[in-house]
Amino acid sequence: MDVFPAGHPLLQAQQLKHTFRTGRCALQSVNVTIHAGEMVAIIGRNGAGKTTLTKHFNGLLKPTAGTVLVGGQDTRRVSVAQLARTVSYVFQNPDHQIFHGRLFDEVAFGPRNLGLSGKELDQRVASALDAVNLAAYVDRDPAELSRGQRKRATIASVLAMKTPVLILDEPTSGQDYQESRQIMAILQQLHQQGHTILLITHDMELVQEQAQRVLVLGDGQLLLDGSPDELFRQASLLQIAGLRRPPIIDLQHRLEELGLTASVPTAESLAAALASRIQQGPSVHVDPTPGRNAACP
Amino acid sequence: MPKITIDNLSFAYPDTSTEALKEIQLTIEPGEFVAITGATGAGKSTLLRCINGIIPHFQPGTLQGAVYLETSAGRSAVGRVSTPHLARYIGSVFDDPEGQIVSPIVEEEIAFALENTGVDPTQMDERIQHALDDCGIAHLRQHPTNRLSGGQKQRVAIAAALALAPSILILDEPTSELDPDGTEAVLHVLSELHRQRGITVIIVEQKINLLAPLCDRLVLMDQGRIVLEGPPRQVLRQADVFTQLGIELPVPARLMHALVKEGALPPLDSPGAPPVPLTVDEAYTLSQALLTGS
Amino acid sequence: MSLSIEYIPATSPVHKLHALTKLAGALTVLTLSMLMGTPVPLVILQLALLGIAAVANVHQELLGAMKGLLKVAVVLIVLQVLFYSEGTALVPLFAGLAITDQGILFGVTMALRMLVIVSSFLLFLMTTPTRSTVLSLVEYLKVPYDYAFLFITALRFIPTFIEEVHLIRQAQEARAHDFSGGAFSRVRSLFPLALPLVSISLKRAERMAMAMETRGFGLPGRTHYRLEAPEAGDFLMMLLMVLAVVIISLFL
Ligand SMILES: Nc1ncnc2c1ncn2[C@@H]1O[C@H](COP(=O)(O)OP(=O)(O)OP(=O)(O)O)[C@@H](O)[C@H]1O
Ligand SMILES: Nc1ncnc2c1ncn2[C@@H]1O[C@H](COP(=O)(O)OP(=O)(O)OP(=O)(O)O)[C@@H](O)[C@H]1O
Ligand SMILES: [Mg+2]
Ligand SMILES: [Mg+2]
Repeated sequence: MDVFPAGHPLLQAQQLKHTFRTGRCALQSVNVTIHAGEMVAIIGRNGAGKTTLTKHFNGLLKPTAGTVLVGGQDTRRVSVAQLARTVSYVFQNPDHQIFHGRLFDEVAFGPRNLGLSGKELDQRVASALDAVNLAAYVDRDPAELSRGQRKRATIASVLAMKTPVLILDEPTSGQDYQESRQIMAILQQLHQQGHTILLITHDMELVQEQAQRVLVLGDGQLLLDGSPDELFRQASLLQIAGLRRPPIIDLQHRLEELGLTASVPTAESLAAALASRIQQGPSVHVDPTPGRNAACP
Repeated sequence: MPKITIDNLSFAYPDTSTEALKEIQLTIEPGEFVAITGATGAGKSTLLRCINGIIPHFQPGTLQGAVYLETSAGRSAVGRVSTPHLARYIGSVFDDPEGQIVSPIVEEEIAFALENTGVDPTQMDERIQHALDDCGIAHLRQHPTNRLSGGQKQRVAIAAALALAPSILILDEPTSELDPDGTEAVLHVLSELHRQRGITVIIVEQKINLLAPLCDRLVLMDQGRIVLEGPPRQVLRQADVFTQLGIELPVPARLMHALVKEGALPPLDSPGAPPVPLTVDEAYTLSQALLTGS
Repeated sequence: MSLSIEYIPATSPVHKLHALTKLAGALTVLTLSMLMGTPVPLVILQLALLGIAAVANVHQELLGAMKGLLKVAVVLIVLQVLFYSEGTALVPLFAGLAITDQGILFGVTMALRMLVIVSSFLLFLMTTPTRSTVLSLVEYLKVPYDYAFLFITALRFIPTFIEEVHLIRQAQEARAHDFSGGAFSRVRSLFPLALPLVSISLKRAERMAMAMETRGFGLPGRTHYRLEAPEAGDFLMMLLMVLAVVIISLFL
C-alpha cells in the first residue's frame, strides 16, 4: 500500500473509552497502535469489548472519551463512508451486513462505491467469490444460503474492496476446518501484499498458527499486547481471559514431560519424535516412574 | 423419553435443483448424545430443522420420508404434530441465536418457554438462576437482550433451552461464537444433563475435538448425506474420510494415525491395535505406554 | 440522530402499565385527535404526549422521531394549502387555485393530527415489548394468536422497517456508500431495496412467530413468571381515558 508505508502507525486508540447508553462501560482507557502491514488477532471473553473496539476503527462507534485515529485522522471528523475507503469491516453477524437479493450485487456493492465498474468490477466479484468457494451461488439470494455460507459471502464482499485495512469480526466462526484454513490463507496472502489485517477470533489454534501479534481484552481493558508464544506461556493470563492453549500445544507440553520435543508442534512431528525415540530403545528414556505402564489402556 | 426415527428423509428447498437432504436414515435412541459435523452447506441445519418441526411447519419445500417421535404412548410423525406441542419434548438452539430471542430482558427470555409449558411459577426463579449460572451469564439477568455481545446472545439462547430441561435438546452450532472457557462450560453442562437426566442431545458442531470425548455417536455429513456414523473411537479411525471431506481430525487421533504411519503402532484395524485416543490425556498415556514398551 | 424505534427497556411508571392500558391509551389519543378540529387542542395533546414520554425517559427518541415526521407534516400542509379552495383567498395562485386561510388551518390541523397519532403509537411501542402485547391480546382479549400476530406485525411494521433501514444504512456506510448528498440521496440509495426491505421485515415477523412456537407458545395452561395482569392503576387510567373522551366530545 503506497499510501501507508509498512510500519506507519495506521490505527491508533488513545485513552479510548466507550460507555453505552445503558451506562455499561465497554472500553476503559485502551491504548493501542496498529502499524501498516501488521496482522493482529484480538481475543478475549464474550463481552470483553472486542467488537466495540474494532467498530471504533471504522467509525461506526465514536469514542465517548479519548481519541481514535485512522491514518492520522480523528474518526470523529470523518464520515464512516470516507473511512470505509481505508478500512473494510466484516460484521460478527452476517445478517447485519447482507441486504441484497442477489449474491453478485451484495459483493459488488462495496467496489461500486469505490468507483469500479464494468469488467474490473465483474472480475473483482468473481475472484472474491471464488476465494470463498461461493462462485456457484453468484445468482442466488444470500438469504437462502446456510449460515456458514452467508458468513463467507460477507467476507467476499469485503475482499472485493481490497482496502488497505481489513477488520474481520470472527471470520471463521461456523466454518468447517477446510474453509477456515482457506479463509486464513487468503488473509495471509493479503497480508503478504501489504494489507493490514485485524481479526477477532475465539480459535486458539488459528491464533497460534497465524498471528504475529495478539491483543487480549478483558473487561474493556487491554490485558496483553504480545506474541502468541508469550500468551500461551502465561497460564494465569489464560485463565483470567477465559482462554485455552490449542490442543496441539497442550499435547506438546505434556509430551515434553516424557522428554519429547519438536521444533514445529504438529501431531506428525511429535509422532516422528516419539517413533525415533522408540527405535533408540526404551533404555534411553529415563522415566521417573517406570512402573506406571500398568495404568495404560 | 421419545426415540427419534428418521426414515428415508429427503428435502429440497423451494426453487432449488439439488436436495439439501438425501435419503437420510438414522435412529436416535432415548438418552443418546449425538454429535453431527460436516462441511458448511452439508445439510446439518436442515436435518435439525426436520427434527424440531421447523420443516415442514415454517419452511416450505419438498419433503419425502418422515421423522418419527416414538414414546410409550405411540409413534407420531413430526410433520403431524403442531410446533408448540413438539416443544413439550424438544428444546432447540438455532444457528442464529439473535433471531431466536423474543423477550426484552434476559430473565424473561429464559422464563418464556417455562411459562408456555405451564411450569409452576414458584419453581421458575430457581430454574432461571440455574440455567444462567450454567451458561455463565448470571450477571446479565436483568440486562436488555438487544444490547448484548454476540456471544452473550448465544449464551442466552442456550440458557433458555437448558432451563426447559426437555427430553430432547437440539443445538445448532451453539458454541460458534463462544469463548474457549464458555465453550467448555456449555459442553460440560450438556454432558452432565445427558448423564444425570438421560436427556437426548443432538448437537451440530465443528469443534469435534471437544465433542468426541463426550458423545456416544459421531455423524459425518456431506452434500446432504450421512457419510459415516458410529461411536467416536470407531469413526475416528477413518482418517481418510475426514481428509476427503475436509473435516479436521482431532489432534489425539491425528497423533495416533501418524504413529501408525511411522510404524510405531500396528494398523488400526489389526486385532492388537489400541483404541483411538480422544483426549490429550489419553494421547499422553498412549505415548507413555509406547515409550516404556508395553 | 438515530431513528431506531424499538422497545426501550426501563423501569418507569409508563413501562409498568399493562400493555392493554397503553394500547387503550393510544386508541384514546386516536379518538381524541379525530374529535379535535383545531390546532390548539392538538398541540396541547402533543405536549401531553411529550410529557408522558419524559416520564418514561424516552423523550429523546420521541423528539428524534418527531423531527423526521416534521418533513412529512410539511408535505401534508403544502398539499392541503394548495388544493383547499374554501375560505378567503389570501394569495391567488395559477389555474384558479389560491392559498386560503381555511386551507392553512386545515393543513396545519391535518399535520398535527398525523403527528399526534403517530407519536402516541410510537410511545406505546417504545414502552411495551412486543411479546407483552401479543400475550395480553391472547390472554385478555381472547384474540386467536394468529390474529394477534397479524395485528402486532401490522403495528410494528413501520418500526421494524426503520430498524432494518438503520442496519442497512450502517452496512452501506461501512462499505463506502456516501450519503453526503443529504436526505434525498439517503432515500434514493434505499429505493432499489424497497421490495427486499418489505420481505426482510415480514420475514422477521415470521421468525418471531417461529421462535415463539418452537418454545411452546400457544399451548394451553400457560403460567406466568411475573403476572402481567392489569392493576388498580391500570383500571384508573382506563377510567380517566373514557372520561376524557366523554368530556372532550361534549365540549367540542
Ligand atoms: N448496544 C449496546 N448497549 C449496551 N451495552 C452493550 C451494547 N453492545 C454491547 N454491549 C455490552 O458491552 C460489552 C462489550 O460488548 P462487545 O460486543 O464489544 O463484546 P465482544 O468482546 O465482542 O464479545 P463477543 O465475543 O461475545 O462478541 C458487553 O458486556 C455487552 O453486553
Ligand atoms: N432457505 C433456503 N433456501 C434455499 N436453499 C437453502 C436454504 N437454506 C439452506 N439452503 C441450502 O441447503 C444446503 C444445506 O444448508 P444447511 O443450512 O442445512 O447447511 P449446514 O450444513 O447447516 O451448513 P452451515 O455449516 O454453514 O450451517 C446449502 O447448500 C444451502 O445453500
Ligand atoms: Mg463481538
Ligand atoms: Mg448450519
